[in-house]
Amino acid sequence: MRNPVVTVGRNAARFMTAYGQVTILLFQTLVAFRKIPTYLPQIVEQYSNIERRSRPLVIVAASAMGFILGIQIGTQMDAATPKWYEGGLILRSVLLEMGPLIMALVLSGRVGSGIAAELGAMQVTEQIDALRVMAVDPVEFLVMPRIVAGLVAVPVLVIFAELVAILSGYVSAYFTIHLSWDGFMKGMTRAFAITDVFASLIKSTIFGVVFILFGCFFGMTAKRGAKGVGSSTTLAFVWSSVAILVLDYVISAVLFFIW
Amino acid sequence: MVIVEHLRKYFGETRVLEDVSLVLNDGEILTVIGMSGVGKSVLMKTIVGLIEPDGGRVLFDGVDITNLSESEYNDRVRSRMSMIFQQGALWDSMTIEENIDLALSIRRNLSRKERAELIRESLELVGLPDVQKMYPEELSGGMIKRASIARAIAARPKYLLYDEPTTGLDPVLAEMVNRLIISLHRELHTTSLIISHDIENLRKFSQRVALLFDGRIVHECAASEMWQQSDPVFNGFIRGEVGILS
Ligand SMILES: Nc1ncnc2c1ncn2[C@@H]1O[C@H](COP(=O)(O)OP(=O)(O)OP(=O)(O)O)[C@@H](O)[C@H]1O
Ligand SMILES: [Mg+2]
Repeated sequence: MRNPVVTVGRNAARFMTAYGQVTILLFQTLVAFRKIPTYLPQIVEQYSNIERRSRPLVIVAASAMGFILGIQIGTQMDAATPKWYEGGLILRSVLLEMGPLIMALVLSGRVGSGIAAELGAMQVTEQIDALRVMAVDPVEFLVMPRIVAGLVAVPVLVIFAELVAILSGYVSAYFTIHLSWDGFMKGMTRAFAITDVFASLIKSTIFGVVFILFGCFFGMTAKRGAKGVGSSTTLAFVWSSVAILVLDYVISAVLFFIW
Repeated sequence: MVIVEHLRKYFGETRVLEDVSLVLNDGEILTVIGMSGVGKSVLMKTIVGLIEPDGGRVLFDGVDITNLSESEYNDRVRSRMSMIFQQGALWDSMTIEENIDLALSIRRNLSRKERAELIRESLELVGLPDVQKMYPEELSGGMIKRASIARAIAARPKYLLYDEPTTGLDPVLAEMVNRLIISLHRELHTTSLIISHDIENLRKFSQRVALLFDGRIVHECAASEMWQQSDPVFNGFIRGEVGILS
């Protein structure tokens, strides 16, 4: 049997090394931002990749999320609470938590893992080595365009998902507690705060950078062989999910104290 | 001239290169042979700076290039040296034309017209004039090999490193690639380092041969005299004797 202390120690060391390497990759990417004009075509291509590939999934996931919220909140309201209250509750839970968090997890499964698979395949077939030999920096050519595209695409997708979720939330509230459209709007208007929209944008932007960065990192460091690519997609998803959940807590706490 | 001195490379506990010394003279074609997994690709990748050695050094036209930064490598080495990878390693999201065009970005001040001309010429040199708009997945194995050679020669490097250019090709295609290597050597005046398992035909495309074995270059000689050597390991290897494994 393995010594558990050794196992824990080794995993902690591995965690710290990977964490350090991802941080370095992030800095290299930021430096590569100066090459944005050169790689504009790649950025546009990546943007449309991210958008096009995930829109159907986002619609399905966001509607499901809205329906669940509508039912959950509706069934928990007692007779003393005015029905229109539900409009505000749906709006705020979607903007603050459900929208950015659930969508980031969904997108990291779709987009992040997809990037890990794509770059992983390039890594094991020596295409990334070939870039370096031809003096093309893989961070500038592969990582930076995906990050820049994600900086725009992910918040756009999340805001779109939130609209879908809010609408389906209303539909579900209508069927559970017969909430009227006017009541729903009243609830939303009373509860609306522009800071919630900012929170949504801040979170989705940061989460997007996280899952794209992890996707790139685990793809570029994929081990040789078919197993290597498979495990890089899994690792990308696991690591970005954990990072997103932890960051969600941190950002929520910070925003709570600021606003 | 490329001089490799006492190169050492370990991957964790795995010893790959122990003490490799090798000279690649200007204008020659040198072939490195050796068993699968002995570290031939690692040696080649160390020379182009894709892998950092644990010890030893590489001199490129008299300059020590062992610990250069990535951008210094690009300026000093990779603008004059290119590599053809074992599986071709064409970028599969791009057409052949775009592949070669991206490889040309190493030469910064080319006009659009000059680039187009170099792309056309390179593809013509490898005998693939009509594949510009095709994607790598649309090409056969032999075409991929040739397209990847076209990509490597596009910027007209002085040195060409071929990692197993004929492995996996049928005898006819292999012969064709071997002839291509010779004709490129003549027309572009390149110096070439080749990794190959094609012992039979080695004499046709190569002037010198070196055997990498157990982390070292254990024997080198003129390709024309390779069948008259007395070194037991070298003889055993080129004649396929299992005995050398012990
Ligand atoms: N990036 C790497 N990380 C860890 N080990 C590696 C790496 N690259 C190569 N190796 C190991 O180094 C050894 C030599 O590999 P290399 O690819 O150089 O062999 P080769 O001589 O080219 O073999 P082949 O003829 O099959 O291509 C192998 O054991 C391989 O597993
Ligand atoms: Mg090899």
